[in-house]
Amino acid sequence: MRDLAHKLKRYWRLMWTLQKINFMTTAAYKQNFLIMTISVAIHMAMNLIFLKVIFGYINNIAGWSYFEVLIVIGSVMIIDGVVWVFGARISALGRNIQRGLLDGMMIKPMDTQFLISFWQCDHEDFPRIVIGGSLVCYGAANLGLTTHAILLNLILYLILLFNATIIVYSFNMLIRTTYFWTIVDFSLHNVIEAFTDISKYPTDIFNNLFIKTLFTFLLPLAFVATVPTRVLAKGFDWRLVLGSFLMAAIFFALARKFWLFGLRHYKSASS
Amino acid sequence: MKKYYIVAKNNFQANLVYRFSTYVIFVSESLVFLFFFYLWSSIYSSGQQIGSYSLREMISYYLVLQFLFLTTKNNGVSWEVGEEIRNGELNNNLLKPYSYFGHAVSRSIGRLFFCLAVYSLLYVLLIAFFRNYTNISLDAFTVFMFFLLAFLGFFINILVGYLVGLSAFWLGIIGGLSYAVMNITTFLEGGFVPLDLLPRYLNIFNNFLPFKYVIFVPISLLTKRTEFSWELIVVPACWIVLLYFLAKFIFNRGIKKYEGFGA
Repeated sequence: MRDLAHKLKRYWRLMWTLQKINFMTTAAYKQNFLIMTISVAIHMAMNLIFLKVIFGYINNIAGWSYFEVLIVIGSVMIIDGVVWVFGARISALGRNIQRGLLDGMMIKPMDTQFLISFWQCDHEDFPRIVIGGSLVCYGAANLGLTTHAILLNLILYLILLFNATIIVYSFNMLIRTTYFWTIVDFSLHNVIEAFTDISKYPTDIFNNLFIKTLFTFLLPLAFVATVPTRVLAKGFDWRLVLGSFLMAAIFFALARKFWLFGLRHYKSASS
Repeated sequence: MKKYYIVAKNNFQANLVYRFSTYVIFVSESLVFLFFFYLWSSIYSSGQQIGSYSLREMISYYLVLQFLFLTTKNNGVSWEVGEEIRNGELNNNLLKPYSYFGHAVSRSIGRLFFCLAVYSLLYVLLIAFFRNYTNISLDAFTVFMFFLLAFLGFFINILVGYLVGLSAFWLGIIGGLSYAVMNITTFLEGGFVPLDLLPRYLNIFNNFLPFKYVIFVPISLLTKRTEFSWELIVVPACWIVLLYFLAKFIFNRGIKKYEGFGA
């Protein structure tokens, strides 16, 4: 038990050291950081204009009001931001495998998946979390709930959002681990992008049972933003909460197993 | 001209190596289209309508939009140029007997033809499968004009990306700027919502810019929402000439500031 605690402490400290080192790199390009912040704000504005235009003609999307959809979009922005801020290196996994750069990480006395996940941090994406959070707060404040209900639901929402981040991270790892066999660096990125884009809308739009099942369990879109938002808007639902924990655990375990399996097939391309 | 043809051909062949990517994109793009199909079907199912667009027109718009995203919009020219300037790889290009701009464009053309060859098949299948839900024109003249307009849009897109890439002479890293410009231009091109659904003042402002010729105009022609006129070709062609001279001017200014470190 003491060993585990010591190990966890070591990984925790390493994670923050990596954050600090990465922050220094970000600070070297101040202009880019500023422009990135503006870019994220622009991206959010584009999404809002899209929603405003659509909701200028309609009252709801599959029963979801404007403010609820706003929370869904904000939630995806937060998750996306967290994944980029903490684990930008994951997106470069294909390039690392292709060029044999993974060797350097494998010989370090730490877990390779941990290093791949936290080695590089894109702090430029931090504004994404702030802006996403602002959208969620603005949407939640307009749901017509009492302050007590909002606070209670918000705690649950944050727990489910944490699960959602685990799901998105695991899905990322599951997809990118296939690089061990395919050695390519661009098409799988499309899959991740498609996954993020689709999760920006409530999964209730899928009225076909087969498609709904596909987008709920095989591609766990429902548990990314739809479920946390539903809990924030409508309150505790044990089936959704349980489902969120289960999906996070299953996808994390699958990603870990698949990663270890992939790592055994790593051939190294370096000299 | 032959050297640029070889650059384009090499890029085309380099893309052929990654056949697996094509299959993956086939699946992911089909899923994205499925998502749009259900999103719009769900919105229209309760008798609601978005502007003057019928459900068929809206589905067609997003189907063709996705095709353009994968073909004429699918280039990393800003990133490639920006990185080559930042890490000094531009030195190698300056020493070779070709124009750097011509080289960057040839690479993108090679990629465009690869994407057209591959994704046209996917979209022919999708159009055939969803033929009862779309109103895409299959008239030979309209299809030809659509590709011509899309090709002009591709050049506008390349030139804007090239200009963003050149900003690396002054900024170093251009990730932020590239992302901002990509979002703004995609919006003004009609990549988020059809432009005729936006407020009037935004469309008036947009008329003074080249962006609508990249996505909105070609789609409107193919989905029979606009009639062909020569103006649709002449205006973007003028923009291409204007942007080309601007790019040349900026490159000449930037190269004076270039230090060539990192190579």
